[in-house]
Amino acid sequence: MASTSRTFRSDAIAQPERRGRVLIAKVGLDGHDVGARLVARALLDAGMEVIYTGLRRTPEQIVRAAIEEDVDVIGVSILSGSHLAHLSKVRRLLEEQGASDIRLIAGGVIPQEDIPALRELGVSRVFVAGTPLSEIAEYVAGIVRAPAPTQPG
Amino acid sequence: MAPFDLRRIARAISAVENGGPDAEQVIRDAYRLARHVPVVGITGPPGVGKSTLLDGLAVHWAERGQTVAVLAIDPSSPHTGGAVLGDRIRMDRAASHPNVFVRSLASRGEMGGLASAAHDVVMVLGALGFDRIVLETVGAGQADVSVASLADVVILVAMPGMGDQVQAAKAGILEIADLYVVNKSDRADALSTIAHVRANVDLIYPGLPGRNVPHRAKATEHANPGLRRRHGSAADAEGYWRPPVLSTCALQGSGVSEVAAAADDFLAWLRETGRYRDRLHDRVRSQILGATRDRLLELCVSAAKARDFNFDELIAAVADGTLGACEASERLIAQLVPSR
Amino acid sequence: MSHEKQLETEDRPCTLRAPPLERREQFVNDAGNVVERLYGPAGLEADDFEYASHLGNPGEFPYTRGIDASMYRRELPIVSAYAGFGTPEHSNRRYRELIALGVQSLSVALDLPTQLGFDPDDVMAAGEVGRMGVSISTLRDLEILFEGIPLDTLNAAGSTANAIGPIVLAMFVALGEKQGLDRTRYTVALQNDVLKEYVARGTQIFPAEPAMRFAVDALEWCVEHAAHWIPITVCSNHIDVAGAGSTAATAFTLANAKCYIDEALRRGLTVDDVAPLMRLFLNEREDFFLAVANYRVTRRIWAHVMRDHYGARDPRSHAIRIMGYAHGPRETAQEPLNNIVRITMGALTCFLGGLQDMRCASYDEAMNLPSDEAVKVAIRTQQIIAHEFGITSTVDPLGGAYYLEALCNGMEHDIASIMQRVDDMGGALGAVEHRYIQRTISEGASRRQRAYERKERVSVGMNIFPSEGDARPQTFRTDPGIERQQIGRVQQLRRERDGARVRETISAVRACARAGRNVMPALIEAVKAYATVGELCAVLREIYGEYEPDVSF
Repeated sequence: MASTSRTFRSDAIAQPERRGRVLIAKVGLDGHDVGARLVARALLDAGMEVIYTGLRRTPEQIVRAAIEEDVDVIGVSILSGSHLAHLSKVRRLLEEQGASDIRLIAGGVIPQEDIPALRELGVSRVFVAGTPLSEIAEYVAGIVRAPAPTQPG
Repeated sequence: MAPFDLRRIARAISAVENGGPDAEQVIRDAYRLARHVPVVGITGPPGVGKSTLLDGLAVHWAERGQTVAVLAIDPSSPHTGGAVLGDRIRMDRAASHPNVFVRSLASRGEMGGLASAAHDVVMVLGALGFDRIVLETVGAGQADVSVASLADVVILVAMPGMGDQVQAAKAGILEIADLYVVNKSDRADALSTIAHVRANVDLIYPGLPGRNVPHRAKATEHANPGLRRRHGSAADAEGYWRPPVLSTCALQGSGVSEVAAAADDFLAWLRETGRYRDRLHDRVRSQILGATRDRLLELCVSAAKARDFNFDELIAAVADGTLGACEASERLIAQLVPSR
Repeated sequence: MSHEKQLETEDRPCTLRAPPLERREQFVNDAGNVVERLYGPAGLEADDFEYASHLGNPGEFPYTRGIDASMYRRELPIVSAYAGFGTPEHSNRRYRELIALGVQSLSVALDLPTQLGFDPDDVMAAGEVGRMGVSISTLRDLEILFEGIPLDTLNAAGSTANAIGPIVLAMFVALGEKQGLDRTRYTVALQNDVLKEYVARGTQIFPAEPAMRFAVDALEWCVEHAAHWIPITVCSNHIDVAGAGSTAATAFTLANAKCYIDEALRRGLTVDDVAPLMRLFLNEREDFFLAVANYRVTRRIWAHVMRDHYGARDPRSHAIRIMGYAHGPRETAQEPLNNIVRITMGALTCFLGGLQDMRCASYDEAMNLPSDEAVKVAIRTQQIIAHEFGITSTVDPLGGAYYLEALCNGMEHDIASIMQRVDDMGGALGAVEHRYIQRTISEGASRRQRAYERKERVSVGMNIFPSEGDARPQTFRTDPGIERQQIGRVQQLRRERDGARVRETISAVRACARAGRNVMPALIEAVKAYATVGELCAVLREIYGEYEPDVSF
């Protein structure tokens, strides 16, 4: 019963068909969350619901949260260099728990030469430091508009 | 691993939130099943520690074998419609417990602290088999009444050093809470805050904290019918409830089991005195009225659009003073019901 | 007031013709202040500038021009390195190379598990051991790390350990003994500034208040046992970089310093006991002149706070030592060699600002740990500025420059008002709780991001003059066997050490912490018995509690 009269009541921001939900997570032990928070803000400004999980999350916690929150995208911020290990674990857990349709993107301190390996293991996009926030927001909005086909079960 | 299918539950909630034909079927089935489970609502101003307390409570019940669904509700941006939902951060223990399911909901335009789909989500969660639902609402400190329309037990959380925020017993707060918790009891001024809250409760309730048998000595009725309906009064045969004021240090875990016990006691009292049914009816009443209100507005708007009604002109007229706001409203309604 | 305005307001025809169209409508610095076209004596007059009170000679109150009379004519800024990675053996080799290149002071970079109180075999440490720094879980690791590097051959040895600062201090005390050195023969310099972690760096373990008291345990112990050591370096760097900007960051840093001092006073120490042991780590990397102004004006403000607010009488309390870090506005992965220029500019500000100790970043530092070549360039950069071009022939060469002094005066005013607001909130801890610092940081970060996207804030090679496909230096890779090796080592050590002694000393730590006594003596005994960082932090978490994360946006 999500009421469409909201359109009329509020100042008519075009209500999207589906409201995008994104999990922004920091995996590993590094404590710099300025970038993650800026991205979360940008997605909020673009009309999305952002679940921010805070620092020092394990891959298990991230995947469980992503499933419970039924997100379209998981955005992981890593600055400690442990991206390959942690992201492959997240991807693996998503597969195992029947959530392979949830997209995975990453940002932070990730060397250019690791990007092919990350794409290979199932990271849809890697955003290097300095990418304009609008670019990230547009990419995520694109995923929300055309989600991947759902997995059975 | 959780004893329930996380994906299925999550998907069901999303469907209810987003609406659509699938959702309607799910919701209809849930209402038909009518499996009403206890709903514990936690409200209060930002920063008092609601999420931490909720974490402790959810784990308390989960450890005793209950399956608990947690709903953490935060406001949507009125400008963009988006939201940042960060309450999970403080619910580490609950979020990792196999018996607990945690979901963040954005209010999506709903005022008063709840999410627009909250009533339906609660029904669906009951239908899916949870033993208990705990929800945390926005709680702006003033009348957060809508949580009272959905929760069976309303816990209002305060903390020391808030000064007059607790004093905001203007209308709302003291009418809806069944249990008061002063969190961060390790603070220096905790004792005086607890005393302050108790004094406020004293102004309204006679008797002892918790269950009270009927008595003559102060057989006053609550001047406020809403309060009387919720908690009874000294003249009632089944007795009445006086909200206890408890203290916790949620971060350290102290006092949490006492809060859980008090909440469970209130739920038991509701059932024993037959007031649970009243609660349920009140909840359904407000839900029906709310849905009707929304639906009527929706119908008005679509009728107006179908007749090419010029809303901007109407707005301009009221702004210029050529038309009163009430008249404008009647004109809009007339689109739906032309005979008026 | 700018010189030009002054000319206009006086009754004299303005001889400066309207200037040609400028590149921007307004020139604004990172502090958000408008930069005038020209600065002159009228501006200083408007500030009631007076040499003796605003500047003073170097070595004289308020020390704006330098903490001593001769400065670099006597001693050049110490060449410092913050280094460490992988196993202690790896890092030991690196340290020797650095010393051979001319490094005088070593600050051990610890990996994240160590900084957060996890042993290498803790589940939380998986994938992180030896990445961002060297893995140190026991005294044994530190002994290996400094094998063949006697502590008294260094200007100072230390670490950026923050939440675990006192534990690392205890390890260095024990290490000195192992090396057969009297404490007076060497110097330990720690960061141990846990307050900034809560807002800007994120490696906190315990809640803020007990963590702050824990940090002051180290300060208190040094007052009595090693008064020439530097147990706390209060930092603005991280707060600035996170988004606050250097003016606000300096204000918060000074507030943090006051918090530590107030705690020490509560314990019965005097300000003259503790202030001489403290040091500041300042940073400004967006603007050259703001940086120089920042360093100089901070000395002035510190001097006044110590003398006028705390009543300090010892000149060593008034004259604060400052260390710096030259890393340029934003090390970038594109065209990394450009960073050498940025780092050079940053290094120059440290010299012109009169700092005592500094390090230069390596140009490839944006992409994890630096390469050998980049490290060498960094050291050479500092050495070239020190020895060539005559920069260090005189003291405070920019002193009296109209622009610089105007900036100093403006900054002083802004810093004072922010410090007042922090005081009104109950000091540093209150400001963290009210989220004042966090909000300042996140608003600043958003502003910088927007300015960057609008090209008001530029990075050559990134958002202006972008280039494609630059030859990238080889990214430094850590060996995955490092984690296995460190896990094996700590587990073996646990088997070999005297378990009973460890339990005894850990119980003593617990008892001390519970009783609210200074835990340093107990920590020293525990690390000598080879208790691990993880074991010690587990005990402290029991007593101090665990940090509760921040949800607000």
